[in-house]
Amino acid sequence: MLAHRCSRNGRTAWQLVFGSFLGLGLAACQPATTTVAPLQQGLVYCSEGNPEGFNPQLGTSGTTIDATSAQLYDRLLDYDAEQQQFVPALAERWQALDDGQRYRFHLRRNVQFHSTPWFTPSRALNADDVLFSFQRWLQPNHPYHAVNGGNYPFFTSSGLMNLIVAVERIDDYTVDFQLSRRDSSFLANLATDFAVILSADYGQQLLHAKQPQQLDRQPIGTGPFQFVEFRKDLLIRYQRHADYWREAPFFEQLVYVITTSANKRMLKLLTGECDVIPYPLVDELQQLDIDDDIQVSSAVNPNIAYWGFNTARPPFDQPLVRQALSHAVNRQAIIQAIYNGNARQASGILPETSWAFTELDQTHAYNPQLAKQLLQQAGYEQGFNMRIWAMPVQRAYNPNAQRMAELIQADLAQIGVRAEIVSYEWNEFRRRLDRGEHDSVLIGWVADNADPDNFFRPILSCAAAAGGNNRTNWCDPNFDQLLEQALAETVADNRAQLYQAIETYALQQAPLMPIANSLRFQAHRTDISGVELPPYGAISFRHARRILPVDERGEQP
Amino acid sequence: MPNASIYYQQREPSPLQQIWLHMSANPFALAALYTLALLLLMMVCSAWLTPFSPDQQFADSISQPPSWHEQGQIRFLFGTDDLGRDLLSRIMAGSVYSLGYPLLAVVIAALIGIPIGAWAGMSRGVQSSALNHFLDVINSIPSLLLALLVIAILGPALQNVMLAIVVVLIPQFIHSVHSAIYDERYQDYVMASRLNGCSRWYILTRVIFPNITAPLVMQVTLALSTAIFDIAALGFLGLGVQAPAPEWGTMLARSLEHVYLSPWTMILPGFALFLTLLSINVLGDSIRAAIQERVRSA
Amino acid sequence: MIRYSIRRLLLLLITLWLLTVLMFVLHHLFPGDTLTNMSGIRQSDGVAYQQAQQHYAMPQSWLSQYWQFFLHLLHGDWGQSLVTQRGVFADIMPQLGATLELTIMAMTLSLVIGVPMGMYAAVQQRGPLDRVIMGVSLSAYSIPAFWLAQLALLLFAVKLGWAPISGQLNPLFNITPVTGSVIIDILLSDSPYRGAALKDALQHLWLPVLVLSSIPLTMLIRITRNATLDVLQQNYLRAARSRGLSESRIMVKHVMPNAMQVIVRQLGLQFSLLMSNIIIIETIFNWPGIGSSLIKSIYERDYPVMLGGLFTLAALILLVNVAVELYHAWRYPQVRKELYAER
Repeated sequence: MLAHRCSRNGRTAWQLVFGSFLGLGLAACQPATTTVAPLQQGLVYCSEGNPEGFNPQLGTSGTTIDATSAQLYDRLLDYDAEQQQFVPALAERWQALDDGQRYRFHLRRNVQFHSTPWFTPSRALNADDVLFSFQRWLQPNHPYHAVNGGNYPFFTSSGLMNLIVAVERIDDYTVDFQLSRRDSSFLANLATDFAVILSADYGQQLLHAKQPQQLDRQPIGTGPFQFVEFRKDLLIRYQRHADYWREAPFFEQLVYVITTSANKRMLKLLTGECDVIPYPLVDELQQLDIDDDIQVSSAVNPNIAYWGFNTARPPFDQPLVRQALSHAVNRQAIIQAIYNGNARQASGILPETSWAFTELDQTHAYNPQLAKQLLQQAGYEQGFNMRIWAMPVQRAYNPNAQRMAELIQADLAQIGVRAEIVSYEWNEFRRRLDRGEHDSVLIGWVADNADPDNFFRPILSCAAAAGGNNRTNWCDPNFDQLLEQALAETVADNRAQLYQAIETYALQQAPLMPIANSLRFQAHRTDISGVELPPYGAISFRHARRILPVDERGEQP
Repeated sequence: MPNASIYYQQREPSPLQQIWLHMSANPFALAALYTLALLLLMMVCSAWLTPFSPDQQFADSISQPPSWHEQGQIRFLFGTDDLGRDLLSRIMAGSVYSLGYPLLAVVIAALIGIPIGAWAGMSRGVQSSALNHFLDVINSIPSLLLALLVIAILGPALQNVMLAIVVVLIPQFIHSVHSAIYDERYQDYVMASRLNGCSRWYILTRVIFPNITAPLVMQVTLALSTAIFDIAALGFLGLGVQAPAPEWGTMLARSLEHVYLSPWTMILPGFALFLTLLSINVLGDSIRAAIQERVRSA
Repeated sequence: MIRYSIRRLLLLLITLWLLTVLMFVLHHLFPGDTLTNMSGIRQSDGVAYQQAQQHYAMPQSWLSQYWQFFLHLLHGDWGQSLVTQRGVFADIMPQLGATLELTIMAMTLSLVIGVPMGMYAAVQQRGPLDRVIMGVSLSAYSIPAFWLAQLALLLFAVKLGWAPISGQLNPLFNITPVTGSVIIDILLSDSPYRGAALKDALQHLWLPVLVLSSIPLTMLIRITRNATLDVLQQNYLRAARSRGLSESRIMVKHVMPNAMQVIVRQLGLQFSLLMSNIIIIETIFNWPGIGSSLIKSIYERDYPVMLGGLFTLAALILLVNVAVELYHAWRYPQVRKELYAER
């Protein structure tokens, strides 16, 4: 009896094995696309990397912001780039009090948080949640302040940390922000992707469970999608938030498939494995445009790609050396080879889209002879060895930093500087940048808001050098003072002039070499519509939908 | 006065000569041998032969297809890559990294591994048995995995890759020499010279060694093929020789970003790698076949 | 046989133990803080770091440090990832499933195809088909796996559209990974779309399996052919022929079992070769196995994950090799005596 059973088991095992091979053979003959409900009701976005976490307050990288802000969370107010005005979000309305030193926000009622297997909200959004979200980074003694690193780069480098004196609860649905001074950029900063509202209720629950770090790993927000799972290097799975306070999204599921290789992203878009991809390869853009199934869209993006020198390290502490290196690089060739002409050679730090922009080109022109002379003056006739750190990922401002580094490497060889190209995995790369291990780095900046201040303070100020995005570690008190002056000025024309002076000063000192301002590209299958790429903000899938082919059964005669 | 000996004496060809005789009868083996010789010549002379410097960028002809393509130019025989560098020059210069350095690694590993293996093969008892088992274990772990380990400790760079490959190859050499000697040790002719009172050194170098040259040559081809593959694989994974060095695996990895529009940048370095590996493998395979043939006919 | 098995298993245990010693040493060799490399807890984590110091007996001698490390390893406490702060052991298990799924399929495929083809080539020795088979197998053996994978992707996935580019399954099929093997996971799940998911999974599987099996397949063809040729020259075959047995009966009853003896002995080696290719193939096909996670962890300098992956792969290879040897010794007693180390 027993033997009989064994043999039967053996046979089924063999059947399974042969069955799978048969299946392999059959599967190969089938077309790759199927139309089952979950495939129709889900969207696959092939993102370019792993997010650092699921809370944009802690993040700076565009990858993290794209993965979280617009999907999981909401802000008090949003910025409508088309109308160029602020629109209500979690706050129904707001008013400035005390001559702009105090802002009062009236919150929307009946805004539901995500209800997930690990958290069931006990109440709708109220003032406590706003307090919790802001006090976490404002108050060093807040129970959550030090959780998961305790670094809040955006709030440090944008100056919000010093600007907001207190956040006060007036009643359940009214919150006041007390500011230290009048500041025209306050609302703009609150509308950025970083100023998200978390759940105080969830925070309490996690504290009780002694798992506070889960707040940023298994996130709860009010956004259109809710978190299901994150498998590193594979995918992030979101599902529709059915009780979303605005119209709930079309898609049942939103999956970010992590595809770091730009080439694979493009091929997967071609085969239909991805519905939407960010940062398609510029070379292949034309190829993609021909294809009937795929559309490429571009959006104006306020960005700047630059080559930053770590001024904390010799010889880059000498302005002469930095100027020499800036003169040595043929940026025109970079625009052609790397951006395929889809970018504008930067004429300063501010992009064309900024209202403080001027045509005047203040950057260092390509001049290897002059570069050699400058190096000589600085005492480096023989040149020197240096490292160029090149980002491993594509960004809107730089589609291929590694290739760019190779071009620069060849240019530097002309003036006797021997460069080595270094790269790490993206999050590791940024950690090491924070520690200042680099000589120079090819990186860039995308503005969070339309204020020109946002192009200087986050990447060049002393505060940003201490705990933010200032990769040059350049800290010049004169420069910081100029920035303060410009912020205090209220007349737009005067401010524009002040920013001109700031730009001139920064370029003379040359802590960085501006390279290009570029469009932000995205490609998607033609049956997808409504994916939004706001200029100041993260990608949003709230309005995304799949245009189903006109019902075939009905159409056919 | 050649061949003027009075007594007709048939001279038995040495084992290596016998194998050469077997091999030269095989056209594939000869073709592989000549291909490999050609590749080696190209590697040695690459500094003078390349039409352009491998790092020279021609901004006016970026991603130029190879000359046999209708849009190709004869100036760039194999076309250019995404930075306008001549692919032919890069592949030729790359042979230094992809063939020269593996060769160097094999030589170093052989110089270290063969004496140790010989010593181990001549020793006996528990010591030898334990070593044998230990080597079996080490050799059952893929060389790429061990090389990855070395890279993880030291970080990716050319000299670390070389170190990793040498470290990985040494046990293979020890193992093959050890077992080759072990197989010969108890043969009658060795026993005869031992009874003649020859020293161990004499037995090793004059008696056994000529008889294990063939397995040694095979081991060298095997090691070379491993080293080439591992260096290229590490380069492909971004953990080996770093760009812009024209190492074939690294070139292949870098080319993937534009493989859709310029497939030749991926196909040509891969083909160079394939050709090199193929000629070495065919050579190794025919040596093995010749050894088998010799053993069978003996 | 029992003596041999015990001896072999003992050797395996010693080897595995040596592997743990090697890991311990590596933790010290890797750049950075040893305790962080071991436990995945950073110095900046204050309290947790001090606790870990206690747990791993950091202030004490190397010996007690090793002992604590060894105990942690045995308990499946392999530290946490420096990147995700998730437990290494818990993350590796589904990866092992995914890797094994590919491996077993590739190995089975190469056995099922390779052995008959090798025997066929041997019977037709020096015939045109033999030459074709041998030529193709030698070339296929020389194709670097990463190049072959890329060419296959370009042809089958991009040009012909027969297979997806990468991954295990369309992620929109919400299948929870339990074992890591996507087919078993689908069968275990209660998704209403199991049929469609299974079909999709098979579409994802066939290309990596095919590419992965190319090396063992070609090797097995060559091994089988040579083994069969050796058997064909034996006297007992001549005897069988003279007794008038039919060719097919000779092949099935006499040649195959004897040739299999050589083939089985080679399986362990083939498995090792497969393992070095699987690292590359998983990376190219974004297969969520141990190989791709190992490469990722090297990029990210995530030492706990890296060593966990290395240990698992090495242990897997050793286990398979020993299993093959034991099976070989059990199935073919005639060769057993030469396994007792002395000759």
